[in-house]
Amino acid sequence: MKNFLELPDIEQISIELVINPVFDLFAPKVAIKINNQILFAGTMNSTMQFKVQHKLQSPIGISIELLNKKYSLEHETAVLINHITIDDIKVIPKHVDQSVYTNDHHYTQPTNYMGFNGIWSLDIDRPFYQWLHLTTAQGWLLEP
Amino acid sequence: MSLAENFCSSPWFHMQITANGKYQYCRWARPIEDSQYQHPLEFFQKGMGTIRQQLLAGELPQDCEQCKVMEQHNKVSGRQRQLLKTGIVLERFEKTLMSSTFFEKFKQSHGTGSTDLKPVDWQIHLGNFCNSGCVFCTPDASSRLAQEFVKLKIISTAPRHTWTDDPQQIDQFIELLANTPNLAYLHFIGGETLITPAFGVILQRMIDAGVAARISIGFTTNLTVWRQEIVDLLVQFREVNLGMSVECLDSVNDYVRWPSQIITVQSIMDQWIKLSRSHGWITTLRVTPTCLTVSRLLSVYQYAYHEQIGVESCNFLEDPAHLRINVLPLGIRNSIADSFETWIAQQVSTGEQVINTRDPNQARASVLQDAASYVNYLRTAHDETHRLADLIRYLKLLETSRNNSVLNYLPEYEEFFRTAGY
Repeated sequence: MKNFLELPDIEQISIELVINPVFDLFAPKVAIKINNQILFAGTMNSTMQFKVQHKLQSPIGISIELLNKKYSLEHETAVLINHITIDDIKVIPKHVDQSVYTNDHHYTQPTNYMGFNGIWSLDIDRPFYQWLHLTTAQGWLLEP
Repeated sequence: MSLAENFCSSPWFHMQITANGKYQYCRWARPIEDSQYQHPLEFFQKGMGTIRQQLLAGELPQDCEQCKVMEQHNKVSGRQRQLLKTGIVLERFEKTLMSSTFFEKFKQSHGTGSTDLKPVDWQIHLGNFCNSGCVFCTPDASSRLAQEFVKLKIISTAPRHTWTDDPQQIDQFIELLANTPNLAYLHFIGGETLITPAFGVILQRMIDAGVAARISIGFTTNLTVWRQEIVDLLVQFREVNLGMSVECLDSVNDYVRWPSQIITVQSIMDQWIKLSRSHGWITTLRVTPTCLTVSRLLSVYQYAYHEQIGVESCNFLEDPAHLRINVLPLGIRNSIADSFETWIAQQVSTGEQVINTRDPNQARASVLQDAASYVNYLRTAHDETHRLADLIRYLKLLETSRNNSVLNYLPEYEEFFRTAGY
């Protein structure tokens, strides 16, 4: 690329999620979404990997929901967010402090292990690389 | 030639005002000829259009070469620092450029190079009020040196008064700042900032205009004076970046930053560091390495590493040419580089490049990185020993008014200096 005009109109980045079910008797029921688009909804019996393309400059909202866990029967049932990478950069678990886990046990510590019914979410509310700049404390990010 | 090699985002948010009130597009660039523009905003939006056009075309403006030299020697360049402020990093250039907060503004400048933006990051030269006569300085930046140069007949008249003597120009400047919604950073240099009347005036006006609490201030001091009334103004700003000028921590500093005394310099430096820590300010030692000080520069890195504060030099010294580091012969340079390398090897380094060199959490890594860039420069910069005669002529002339001798400070260079008639 020799000059500004040669930049592509649209650039894509990949988002990869690797999710592990954790259970002894009953596999977890899970819903996985990126920007409200459902990637998976159902019973997760084995490790699942998702890879989607996403517009470079668009915000990213990832949510993973654990549903209908019966605490009296499913002691071990959980979902482990093994890792999430965006454009080959490891985001989870490294930046798990940026995630929010809303659940029925009011467990508030950011985590990649979902043992309670609820929604884990990562809200990247600006272009990924701007978010990464701020999250990794790269100093000022000036606004025009 | 590629966009990644040459592009810089600085002209979309930064400019500087020189001591004589002229406008420049960058604090790192070589000074350019007088511009036709009378108002800083007009200069920024229109006058810098050619620079922006060149950068968008992937070309290197001729006055931007200093940044290329820094990058060649693995020193974090002004370009890298400025790119980072807009979210752009060279290792993922294309994607971070397209993700930048300024991307749409870059696009808008295509064609004429003009912009509707206002500068939000300033370097402001306050004038040449200064109580020091550093050997590498110029009359434009030191009133004391100006007087000495007149006396020594190096110049015929001292520079005229600075732009900050003109209340109308200050009013115009303050009005522009007060009407810049995303104003982020003002860096003041002198002269010696603390004794420059306009420094306190502008700080007070910024406070009165209600912008102090939302902007960062930076300034550089020569560690020879203290003014509590300035400190009282500084604490009202959101953030302070303190630059403390020192070349080394022994008496060679006295010779080069004449007529300072290292004992006083260190005492005042201790006070600033204590104050900075109590307010969470960002502190940096500012060095201007020359052939006279590079052999003692390691003391600054060692001190900074110990205190976990940064070290910053604007670039590899270009002017005055006779004080460039590569005036020293390669044998001496390699010996200095060896001592740097030995020390660097004894410290713990992550090896990752730190671009945000003012991040206090990365101060030590940043110090090692900057020291390593001087190792690279010492070993590889082309030979300019032919300038030794100019250096000796200049030092001998200065010493006639200062009644000192460089050999009392740097006896190890006696044999070398004698070869050029010292």
